Amino acid sequence: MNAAVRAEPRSLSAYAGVLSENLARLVDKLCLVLLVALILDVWLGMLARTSFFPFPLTFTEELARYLMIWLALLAVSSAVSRRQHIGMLFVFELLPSQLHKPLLVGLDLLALAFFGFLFYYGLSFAGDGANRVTMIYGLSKFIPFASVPVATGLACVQILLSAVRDMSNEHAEPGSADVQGEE
Amino acid sequence: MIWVASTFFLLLILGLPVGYTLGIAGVVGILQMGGPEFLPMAPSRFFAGLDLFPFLAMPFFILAGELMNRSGMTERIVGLADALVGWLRGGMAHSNMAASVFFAGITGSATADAAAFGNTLVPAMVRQGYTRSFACAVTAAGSIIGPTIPPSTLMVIYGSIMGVSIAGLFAAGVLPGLLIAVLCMAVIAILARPLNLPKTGDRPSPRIIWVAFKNSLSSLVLPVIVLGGILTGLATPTEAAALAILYALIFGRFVNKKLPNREIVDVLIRTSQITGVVFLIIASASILGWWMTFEQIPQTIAAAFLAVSDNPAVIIGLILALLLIIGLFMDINASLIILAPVLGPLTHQIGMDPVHAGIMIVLALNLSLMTPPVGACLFVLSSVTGEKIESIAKSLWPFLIAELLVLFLIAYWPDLTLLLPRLSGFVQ
Amino acid sequence: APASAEKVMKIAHMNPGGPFESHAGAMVTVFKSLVEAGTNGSIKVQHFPDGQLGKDNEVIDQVRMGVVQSSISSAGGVAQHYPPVGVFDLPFAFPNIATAHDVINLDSDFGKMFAEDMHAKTGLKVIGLLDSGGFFALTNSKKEVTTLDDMNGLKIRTMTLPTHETIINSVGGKATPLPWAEVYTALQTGVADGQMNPVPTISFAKFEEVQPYMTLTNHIITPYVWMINEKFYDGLTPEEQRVVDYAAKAAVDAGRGVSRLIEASDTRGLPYLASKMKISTLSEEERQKFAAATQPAVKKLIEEQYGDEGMKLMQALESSIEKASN
Ligand code: NA
Ligand code: NA
Repeated sequence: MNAAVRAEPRSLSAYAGVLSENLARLVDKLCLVLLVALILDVWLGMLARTSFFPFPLTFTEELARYLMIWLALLAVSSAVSRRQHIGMLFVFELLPSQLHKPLLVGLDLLALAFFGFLFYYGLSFAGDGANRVTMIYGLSKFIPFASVPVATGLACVQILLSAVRDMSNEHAEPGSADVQGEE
Repeated sequence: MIWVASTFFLLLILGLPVGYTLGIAGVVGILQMGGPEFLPMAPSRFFAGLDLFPFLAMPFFILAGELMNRSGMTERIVGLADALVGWLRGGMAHSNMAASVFFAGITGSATADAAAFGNTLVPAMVRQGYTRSFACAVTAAGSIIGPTIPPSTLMVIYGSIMGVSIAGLFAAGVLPGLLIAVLCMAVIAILARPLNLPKTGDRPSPRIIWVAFKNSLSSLVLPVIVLGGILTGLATPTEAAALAILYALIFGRFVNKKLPNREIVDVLIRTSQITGVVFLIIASASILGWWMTFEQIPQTIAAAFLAVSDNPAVIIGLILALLLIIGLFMDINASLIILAPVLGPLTHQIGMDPVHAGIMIVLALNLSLMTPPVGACLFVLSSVTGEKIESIAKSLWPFLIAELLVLFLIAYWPDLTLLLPRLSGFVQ
Repeated sequence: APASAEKVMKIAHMNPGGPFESHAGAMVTVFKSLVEAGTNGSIKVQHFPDGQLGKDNEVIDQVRMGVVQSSISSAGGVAQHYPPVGVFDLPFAFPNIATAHDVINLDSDFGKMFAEDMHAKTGLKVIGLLDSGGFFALTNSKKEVTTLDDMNGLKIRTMTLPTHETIINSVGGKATPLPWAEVYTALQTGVADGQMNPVPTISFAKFEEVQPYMTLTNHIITPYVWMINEKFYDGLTPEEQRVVDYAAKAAVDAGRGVSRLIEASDTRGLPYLASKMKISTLSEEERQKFAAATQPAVKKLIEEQYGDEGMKLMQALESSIEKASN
């Protein structure tokens, strides 16, 4: 896989594939940072309740929820790029292979419409969040709410990139069941 | 409603990922409502569906499981299980089920159990020669013991909504949970020959068992730490998952010296990828769930069902059918919040004890966690192990039958559920 | 489903829906009956109890968007849209329930000012204001609390609200914010030693099963705010508005009545809890000590968080209490 990614892009498909993979890796790194922060936050929350912790800390529960949501939603786009989202593929696999390409394009368009819809309305959702307060020192809810447009926007980009990438892939399927089971 | 349902099934069958399908069906419902004011509900519910602290337990147990695998802790527990029951045909499957009971005393969430076991026991069973789909099926069947034996988040929600003693529900859940384990073990025993389930050879000597036990001691401490963390009031059941991470990290890194930075980074990234896949399904399901609630669809279905008869036995049957059918398609928390107030009063009218009714409703909804097309435990297992949903489902049906049998026993034999709550004084 | 000619008013809240199960259940039941009969069915009321459509702060969003027409929401949910509602968290501000009734009321000077200010800031029309089921009481699993010193080191679960956290911390306890779904188990295992809530909430959540001690501290009483989407209200005919206004008033009275009924009942109220827990009260002297310990800290916080407007609202609250007490 590494070799394929590092290879000189020769076609639009290959170029989209490289772009998609690099974007996914960047997002993975972000998720990694968020996950570490999330774990530290929950440890801190437990520690803060013990009697030898000097002062009360009360933001950890709410912060944990927002970190978790940002982490999960960002990770959606990486899974889009790798077609890791779970689907039931038995009918797709039964269909004649000439139908696979057009069906894949159709399903990708639907996915694009879905995430595009969430992105468009997610922008105003996040905007409204600016007028709502969290209980973490009164920070605005824009910060957690923005996870929706950012993540769905990224998902749209990844759907387009992976659709272009898979134009040259005979075996592409809309979702996945076995990418994870490498061990 | 026709449009939403046909969109859902068509896209699901064509192979569109479940996370997109649920969301698109929900958006179709919202579009049908007509006004532009409804459209922003999609992102709003998408977010709100994830905004629950107890969901943390799932990624945390996935991570803890990964750390245990890579630091060799799982291997040692498996080694002990092997020595104890591996010589029996299907021994590992039995120990998976026993471990589910043990784990159920720690967590309140079936998906967290599925995540932890999918990550540890399933690969171990596969290495021993089980098919991955059977290993997943055993794990899925065992995972619903988690919210049946206390602690259980679902019972807390039910008790609060319906004003039923939560301690009473907790006590009442113990026997049904054990019964599920026993019947599932019976299924394993029955299937052992026809499926030619693996065994490891001759019965080992006591010395070998003793060595395996000593080797696995450090791993066996983990559940003790998690349970101890909860019982001493250090952690909530959700936070206990974070304790598991702490222990696995310290042990794997400093005692076993098996977790270099590179491995830890790998494990963290893999955990966040699985979280993305599973949480998309939860978030999208909450768009569809909100639309169903808003249009009062569960109530409509319930009313139609219940116009049929007034015989208590028939009503109980209809309630179970309704819970199981709604459970096929709807997320468990949403189902509980919407159906409990609809069905609870009805069970009261036909003279059921509230604790008995609560356990019946919670158990029926728990079963929905492992039924396709929408079953959270299936999604988690599929995502963690890479096995296809449909092939897990194929191996699952014998267990499903056993668990349905438990459900019917619970429903029509109140004394079974009420024995422990009566002994502990929560029910007269 | 296609929209029909009649006007549909969806009302959401987080409490149980039965008329005798919660104040909000009673309110919507009464309101629905009066409005549907009084308008000859031109307005149809749909009731969404138990947080079916979302948590308080989310449903308030839906009311602002016009997706849902009305909600009856706790101060915790309102705070995310209209933070100054936090002035109600000034501890020991109300000398007794009679004064609380007179002040937490749309007819009081304070109530009018509150409704106007909230309307101006959020666009939500307030049609009812009442207490959330009486004064807060404190329960715990460690010891009988009758003095300020008894609070020392107790881990008390609060909502994630800075004012509530400050109250606990300033009496020497340790505020422990936990999500509602985890509170029962947390109290059982000792993650938190205790919690604070009104009596109906305590019995609703079955805390008597895991908390042997309760002190009727009466330290705060928080409001439930009943709000309606302004555009929906403006779209009603004057006659319909009259019926809605009247029905809301009657429903709030019924809601208050049911709260008092629940508090008094021997299946869910104080008599019931007294049979399961040791119930104590604070002496006047100790009450003064608690007030002296908590009030300055919370006042400072309100000033910091809500600025001049918050202080203005708090002064209005205090003078309204003063007036009602005399
Ligand atoms: Na459990
Ligand atoms: Na299901």
